[in-house]
Amino acid sequence: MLRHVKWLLPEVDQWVEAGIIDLAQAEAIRTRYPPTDETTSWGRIIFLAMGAVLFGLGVILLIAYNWEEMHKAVKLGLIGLSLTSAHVLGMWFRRPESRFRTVGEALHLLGTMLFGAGIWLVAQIYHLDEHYPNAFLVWGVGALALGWTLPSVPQAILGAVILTLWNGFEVLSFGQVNHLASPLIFFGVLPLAWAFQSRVLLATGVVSFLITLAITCLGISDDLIVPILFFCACMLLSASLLVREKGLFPGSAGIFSFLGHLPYLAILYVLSFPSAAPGLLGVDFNNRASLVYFTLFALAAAALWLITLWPPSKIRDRLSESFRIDLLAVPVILIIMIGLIVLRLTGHKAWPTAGLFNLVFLFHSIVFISHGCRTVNIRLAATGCLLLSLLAATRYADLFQSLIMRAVIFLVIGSGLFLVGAYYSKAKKKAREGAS
Amino acid sequence: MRKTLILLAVLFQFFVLAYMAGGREFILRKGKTTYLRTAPIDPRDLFRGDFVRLNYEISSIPINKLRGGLNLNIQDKDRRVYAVLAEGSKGLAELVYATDETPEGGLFIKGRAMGHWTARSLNVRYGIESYYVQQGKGKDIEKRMGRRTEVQIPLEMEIALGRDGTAVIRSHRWSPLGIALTVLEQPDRRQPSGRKSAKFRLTLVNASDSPLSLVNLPDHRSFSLEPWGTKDWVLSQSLGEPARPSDEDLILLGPKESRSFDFDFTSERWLVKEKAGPVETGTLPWSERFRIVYRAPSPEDCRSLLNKDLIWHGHLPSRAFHGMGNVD
Repeated sequence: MLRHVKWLLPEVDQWVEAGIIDLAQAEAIRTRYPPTDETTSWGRIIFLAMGAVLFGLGVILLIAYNWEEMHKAVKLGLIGLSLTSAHVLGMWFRRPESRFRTVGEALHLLGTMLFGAGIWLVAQIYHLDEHYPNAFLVWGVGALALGWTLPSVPQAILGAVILTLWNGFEVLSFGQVNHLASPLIFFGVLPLAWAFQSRVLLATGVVSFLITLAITCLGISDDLIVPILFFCACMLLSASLLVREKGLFPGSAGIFSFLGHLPYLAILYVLSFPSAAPGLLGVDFNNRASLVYFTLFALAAAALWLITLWPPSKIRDRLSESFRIDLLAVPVILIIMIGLIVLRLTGHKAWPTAGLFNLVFLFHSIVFISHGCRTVNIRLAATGCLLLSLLAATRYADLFQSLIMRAVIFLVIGSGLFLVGAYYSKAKKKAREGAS
Repeated sequence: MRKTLILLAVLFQFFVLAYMAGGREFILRKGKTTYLRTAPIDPRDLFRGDFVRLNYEISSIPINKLRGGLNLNIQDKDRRVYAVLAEGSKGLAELVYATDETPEGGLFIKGRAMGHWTARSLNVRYGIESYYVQQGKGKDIEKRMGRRTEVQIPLEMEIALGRDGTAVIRSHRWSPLGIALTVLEQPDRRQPSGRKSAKFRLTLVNASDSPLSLVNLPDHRSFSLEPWGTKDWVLSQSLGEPARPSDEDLILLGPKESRSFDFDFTSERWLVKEKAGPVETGTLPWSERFRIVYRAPSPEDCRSLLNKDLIWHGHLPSRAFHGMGNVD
């Protein structure tokens, strides 16, 4: 169960007793924050998994020493026996009536680790030196299959990591574009995270998906990475709003928001450089794969934002709530981005293109600061200050040649940050007074 | 239902390993056996103990042996390649040609194209380039294989071949004959009037524990010049009827004993045919490499010789080189 939900549920009972809320309201809160099935005890799993992995490593290295005296049948038997024992014991400990289900989880994890090691050890026994990324594919699918059937979050995490490695080796070591990896992670990991309401698996799945997609784009054409990651970032930001508004998957909004903001702001920042902006926005549409990927992700991002903002009449109501205005700017920037790439709106000229992204980055920094201060959210306000300082420091080098101008800029930004500090303190004091 | 699914997922892991092992075990037991000669690269794998990285003679296929749709410009780096082999003496296989079409029969091995490092040969991997040995033994094998600048004893891998050309390493043996190629004299590019081709020394060493005999036919007829580049070069000088070996041609080598043979590529004996007439190999483009191949007469031709049982009837190529004296 999520930590804040664990805290909230007993608290709701006390609020009812104290007469702060009535029973109907208490029920509404309980419905909005249901106790999830995420009962994974990570501390125990990590320790047990470490023990299991070390034990497994011992078995692996024993065979890996490649004793000449040890017949290959004995080696194969050891591999098969270790794999089978780990899973059979895992199944035994995971019985519904068992008190040691975490041990069972760790044993299954060991089994899958042994499966991966087994692939390489069989290759060693028969001197196989084939296309090694295939081993990662089979290993990852094996882990994912157990992740679904057990069901198990650690197995699915392992599967996501291994499949990411598979794609990386295919593209970076063999130069082969792998169109299968991203959908496999998307449909193999994310639905499981959703079903489990597991934030750890969700974060792992999203990160694996983004890395896999970026590497695949690198394999197709370098110029595809920035637009595709930008579209994904827009989709994640839109997903954060959707799940929050509809009360789906508690705790997931923060993950979508964080993992969406990270590439979104990073891309805006990179595009704020006049030397980088034109080059990064030139997609080669003669490449069929580039065209398909670009169209698919651009349409998906636009569609998701349409769903998020529908119906338009509610946008004003949303703005009056805690809906940040800069999030509403995301779909606008998404459309501008598509226009810049497809229609070449700025003709890919250095400063007109970079200038636009400087303004957008500045806008986001200011909204972060103002919203952070108004809602007394120190993390948001501090992030905004950091982004603003980063932008000022970057443009210091390539925009202002005169030392006086540079000094003025830093004085203005420095004073502004002092004012932000004062405003934040005032807002916090006001909030405290309001609460008391 | 869930239990069945879990069982299926576990069985999947088990059967993947069983399939990997079973498929190779079947080839080891039922496949055709042949030997492939190797050249060393570099040993040791931290995760799986020691291994010897193997580079076979057939790992680098010269352009003149590519057939079907194969050429050096193939875009598909992972293209399927079949190396068609002919079995020589002692089961040692030689490359006949490589193609991307499945051969209908005979001896062939399946591999994948890995692109080309030079403009004259296509690199191919057959999935048998790693030979795993007990930790600590890899260095011993590497040491015995020797370095490129000294005597090298080829490792001959015993390979089992499946019907579809899948290869599995069964074991290894050492060639009884070691070889070294050194440059005695090299042309000086700053002196256009000087020598145009190099003079090489080929040394053959008895690397076995028992005596063996070489046969050096008159005019070095036991040695041939094999093109390893873009064209099938032939020698301009015809040596007439094949020579029959005599007892005087025999060279008896005790264990570890060696014999050197000098080859001056400025001499008429080693000129190659060009449209305009005979040319020295040193004047050819850099892509035109050659190997000196020692090839003993057949056992039938040696029937009447003394010590005929000691004669080694294999063939042994040198490292590839350019006529100017650059050894690969």
